[in-house]
Amino acid sequence: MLTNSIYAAPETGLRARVRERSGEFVEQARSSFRHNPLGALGLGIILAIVLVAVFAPQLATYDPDKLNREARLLPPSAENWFGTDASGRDVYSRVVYGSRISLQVAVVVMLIATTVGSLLGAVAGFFGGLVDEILMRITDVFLAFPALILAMAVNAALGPGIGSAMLAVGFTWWPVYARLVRSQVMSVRSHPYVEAAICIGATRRRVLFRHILPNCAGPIIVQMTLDAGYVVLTVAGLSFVGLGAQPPSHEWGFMVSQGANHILTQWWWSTFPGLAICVLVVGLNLVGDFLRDGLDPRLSRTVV
Amino acid sequence: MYLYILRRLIFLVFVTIGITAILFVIMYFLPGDPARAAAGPGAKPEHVERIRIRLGLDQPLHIQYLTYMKNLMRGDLGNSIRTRKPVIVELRTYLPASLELVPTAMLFSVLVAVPLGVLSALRPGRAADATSRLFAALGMGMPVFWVALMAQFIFYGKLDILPFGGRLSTGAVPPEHVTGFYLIDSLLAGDLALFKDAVIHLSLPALVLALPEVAVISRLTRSSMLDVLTLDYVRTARAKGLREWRVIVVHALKNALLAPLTLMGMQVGWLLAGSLFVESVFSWGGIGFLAYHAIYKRDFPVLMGVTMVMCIVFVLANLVVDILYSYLDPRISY
Repeated sequence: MLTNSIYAAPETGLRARVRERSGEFVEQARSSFRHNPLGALGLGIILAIVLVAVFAPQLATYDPDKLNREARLLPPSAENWFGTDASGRDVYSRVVYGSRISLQVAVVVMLIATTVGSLLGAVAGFFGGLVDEILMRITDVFLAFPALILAMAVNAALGPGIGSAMLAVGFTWWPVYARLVRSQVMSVRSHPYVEAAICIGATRRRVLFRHILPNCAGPIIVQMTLDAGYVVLTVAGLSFVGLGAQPPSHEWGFMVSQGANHILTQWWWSTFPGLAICVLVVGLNLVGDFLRDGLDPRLSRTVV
Repeated sequence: MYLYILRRLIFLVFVTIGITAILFVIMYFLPGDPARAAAGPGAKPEHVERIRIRLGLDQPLHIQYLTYMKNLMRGDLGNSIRTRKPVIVELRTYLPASLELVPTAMLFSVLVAVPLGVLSALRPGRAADATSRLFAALGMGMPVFWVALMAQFIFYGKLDILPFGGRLSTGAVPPEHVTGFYLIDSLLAGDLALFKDAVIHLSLPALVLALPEVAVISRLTRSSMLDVLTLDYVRTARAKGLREWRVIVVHALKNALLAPLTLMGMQVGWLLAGSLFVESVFSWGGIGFLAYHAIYKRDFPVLMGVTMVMCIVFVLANLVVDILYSYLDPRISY
C-alpha cells in the first residue's frame, strides 16, 4: 500500500494530496492496530456502544420505563432477553437505553475536569511564581484525597441526582489535568515559536490560548481516554450507593443497586447492567492503553 | 532521611487542614439543614433552633471552622448526629474491621500479582502481552460493587462454600474486645473455632477487593520486569554464571519492583474507596460501612471523620512507599 504512493506517478492537485495523506493515515492506523489488536477491539467496543446509544429506540424490544404487573421478576427468555425487574420492566431495553446515560456521563465529566484543570494548570505553568505556588499547593491537597471519597462528600452536599454526581466527579477530577497541563505548558513555553509570537507583539492571553495550549492537546487526550473508564465507574458507584441516578432511572450502576437485594434469587437484574458497565469501561481502558503507546514510543517498546 | 519524613509529616498536617477546610466549605453551603435532620421529622421550629445553637450551627463559617479545629487538636471530632456518640468513639469501633480487610486485600494482591507478573515477563511476545493487557483492562473495568454481588451469587448462592457476609457467623459471639481485630482477639482468647470463622468471613470480601489490584500490579510488574531484564547488569549476572532464578528474583526483581511500588501507594486510595462498596455489600462493619450510612443520614461530623481518616491513611501509605524506595534503590536518598 505504502509502496504505491512512493512508486506511482505523482498526482497533482489538492485532491490527490489529500488522498495520499489519508491513505497514509489509514495505513498507519492499520499498522498500529495490527501491532496492538486490543486497541482495535477497544475501539470496536466503543463504536458499538455509541451505535447502541444512537439506535436505542430501534434496538430496545420494550419501552424501558413501562411497568408491567403481569411480567414481574421473569428470568431471561425469548421475550425478555435479560429478564424483567420487580416492576416488570424489561432489563434488556433498560440496559440499551442506559448506554446513553453512561456515554453522556463520560463526556460531560471529562469536559468539566479538563476545562477546569487545563485553565488552572495553564495559568500556573505560564505565569509561574506565586500564582503557580498557590495553585499547585491547592492541587496537592486535592490529590491527597481518594477521589471517590471527595466526590461522595460533594455529591452528598449537592443532593442526590445524576447531574450532581457528574458535577461532583468533575470537581474532583481536575487536579490531574492541572498537573498535566502545567508541566506541558512549562515545556512548550520555552519553544522558539512561542518566543516568536511574543516578539511580534501577541498578548499573553493570545500566546497562551492560541499558541501554547493547542500544542499540549496530545497528552491531555490520552489522559482523558485513560480516565474516562474510571469516571464511568465512579459515577456508577455513586449511583450504587444512592447518591447518583434516582428512580426510575435506567442508569447502569443504579440498576445494579436495585437488583442487589435480589442477587440470590433474581440474579439477572444486577448481572446484566453490571456487565454493560464492564464492557464499556474495558473498551475505554483498551483505547486509552493504545493511545498512550502511540504517544510514548518508549512505553510501547517495553512491552515486546 | 529523618528530616524528609518529618517534612512529609508536616505536609500531612497541612493536608488535614486543607481537607477539613474544603469539606467545611462544601458542607456549609449545602442545601440540607443538619439541625433539622438531627431534630427529626416534625420537630417544632424552636426545638430545631435550640439544636442549632447547641451544635454551634448559628455561628458564621470561619468561627465554626476554628471551633472545629480547636476541638480537633484535643481529639474531639464532635458527635455523630445519627447516634449522638462521639465521632472518635464511632471511628474506634469501626476502624479495626477496615484495617483487617484492606491490608489483607493489599497483601493478597501483592502475593498473587508479583509472581504472576514475573512469570509472564519470562514469556515475552505478543500473545502473552495481549493476555496481560486484557487481564489488566478487565480487572480495572469491573465495578467492585458488581464483582462483590457476583461473588456472593457464585460462592454463597450457587456453590455454598463461603458465607454471604458479616464478620462472623450469625449467633457467634465476638471475641472479647482487646484490639478490635477479630483475627487477633480470637487468637488471644484461644478460640480457634472463632478464628477460623473470622478467616472464612474475611476471605471473600478481601478477594473481591484485591481483584482489580492483582490485575494492575501484575501488568506493571511484567512490563517493568521486561525493561530491567534487558539491562547490562542482568547480562553480567548471567555471564558470571548465576542461576537463572537468582538472576531474576534477587537481581532483576528488586529493581523491577520500584514502578509497581509507586502504583501500590496510589492504589491505597482506590482500595479505600473500593472498601466502601465491598463493606456495604458484605455488611462488613468497617469505616466504609460507617461512611455509607453517614451519607444517607447527612451525618456530617461522621463523614468528616471518616474522610479525614482515609486521607491520613492514604498519605501515610505513600510515605511508607517513599521510604521503601530508598531501601530498594540505595541511589535514592532523601
